[in-house]
Amino acid sequence: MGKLRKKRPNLTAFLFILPFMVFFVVFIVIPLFHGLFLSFHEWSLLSDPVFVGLENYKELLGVRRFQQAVMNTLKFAGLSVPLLLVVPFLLALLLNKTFIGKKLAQSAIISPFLIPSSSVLLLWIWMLDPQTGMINQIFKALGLPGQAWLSRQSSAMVVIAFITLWWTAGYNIILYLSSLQDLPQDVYEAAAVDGASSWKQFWRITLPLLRSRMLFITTLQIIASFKLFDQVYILTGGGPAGSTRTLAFYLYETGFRDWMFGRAAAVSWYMFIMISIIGLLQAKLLTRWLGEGA
Amino acid sequence: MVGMNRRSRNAVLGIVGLVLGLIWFFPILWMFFSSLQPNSELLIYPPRIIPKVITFENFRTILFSTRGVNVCRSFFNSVFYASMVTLGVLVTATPAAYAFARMKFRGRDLLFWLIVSTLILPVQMFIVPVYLLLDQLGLLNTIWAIILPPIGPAFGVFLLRQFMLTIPDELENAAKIDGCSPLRFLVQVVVPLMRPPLASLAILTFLGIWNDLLWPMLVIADSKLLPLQPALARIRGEYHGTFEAGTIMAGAFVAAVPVLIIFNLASRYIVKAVSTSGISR
Repeated sequence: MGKLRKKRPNLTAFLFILPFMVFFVVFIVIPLFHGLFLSFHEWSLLSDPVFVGLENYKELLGVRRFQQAVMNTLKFAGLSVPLLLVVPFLLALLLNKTFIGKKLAQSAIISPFLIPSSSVLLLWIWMLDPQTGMINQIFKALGLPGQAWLSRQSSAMVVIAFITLWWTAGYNIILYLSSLQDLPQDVYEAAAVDGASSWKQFWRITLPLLRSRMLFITTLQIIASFKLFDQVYILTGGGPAGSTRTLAFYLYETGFRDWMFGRAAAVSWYMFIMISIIGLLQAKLLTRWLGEGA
Repeated sequence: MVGMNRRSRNAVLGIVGLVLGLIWFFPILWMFFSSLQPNSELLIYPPRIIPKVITFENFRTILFSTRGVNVCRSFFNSVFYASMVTLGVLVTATPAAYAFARMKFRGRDLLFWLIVSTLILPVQMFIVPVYLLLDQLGLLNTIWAIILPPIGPAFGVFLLRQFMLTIPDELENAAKIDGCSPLRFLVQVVVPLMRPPLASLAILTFLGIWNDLLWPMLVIADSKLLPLQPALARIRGEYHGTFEAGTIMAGAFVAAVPVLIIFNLASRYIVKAVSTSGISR
């Protein structure tokens, strides 16, 4: 009897998990190992795969485009992480107050993050059009010289970072707002009774309590930097002069334009290694910082 | 703000909020207003923000002339793909999440955390091997190349399990005593209880597929099967960025509208999905 009772839920559980597991094994587990296997092989479409050991990994370190892609990815992370950490925070502080028209302001600022990339990016190509784009028209009206925003090495990546801020801020605002709404009201009331100004309450209560959420957003944003593809593909194609070629874009070029699958797989494992290292470093640094005020 | 009374503070915040909201939303308004103007009107200086001449010519061109891409068809392809993936994710993730949350079997927690740990892997690691796998299966350039792979990731199982842990034991015990089978219990009791997280998961999945650009671009060559995002990306090559800006904006608007509508109808679920999970992006 005891045995039967133990066995039956096992079979049911197995059947419940089975459909998902089929997809999980076929599209996650097998590709993961196959990708690792590929990264140790040299393989273009023309020839059979040849085992080359760590050659792909070694070679990549000397490829200028790869080095450039690493630097550009870090540059984008350096630009976008602070922007997407601070600006949505300030907007969330504003949207957390009650005022007339709040709902309208909230949807206006949050909703862009759901719009598909191609839509957003076609829009910004039009906004930034050197001749008739709205941005340069506004510059003209202000008496400032217009710019070829996306075709200058100095500005292209910065422009991509700001477009990304405009586009995805809403996502982080939602994350901040949900934390702000969870803050313990009685602590603020107690602080107010003790005569702490709202400025002081902000620095002493709000900010420390939001530190873990900030850590979380930083992590998300770093991972997002490594995924940066759509903006580069549609806005600049990696140019001008490779100044916006990111790792994700380089992987696409290597795998699906040059058809070097082994090397592309090695790029993806480098990405994984870099994300892991940055994630660990950042977790260590930030937990130290988090520990300070707590 | 110190010394201001509540009412005037409220008014100041309201103005700041609305001005910021307007500036933030302006590009989207401009996308819409550009799409309603004849292309030639968009070349003049100063630009007319509120259209003087309203025309639907741009929408007609982008939807029904098949210059390189068929936006109308791609729109319905996208609806179909996103719906199929959403259905697939819900049907596979729900029973699996239920088993991981409520059933006892050996190695359950280990298996669950192994599965969930794959969520931290960057999606780029799967692009090349899954592409080759589909090639081997002869599924490249078919609808299955878009529909099947996104059912693999463990996100849905993870999200639903968190919610299923909160189902009270009494409910399950009562069902068992009544002789209710696990499958019937799942369908008739758990699913109705899980409506909010299921809705969140459905919306996130649908939007994820609707917004995806890279994957369909790689696996679909046939323009008849192309979903909306890669079709729009091709518009850039087909239409002139400056002289046909209104037409391009009509295309961009067509892709943005469903999403904006979904957001306004279901913002509660979207906000909930984002704030409880956070890992979808």
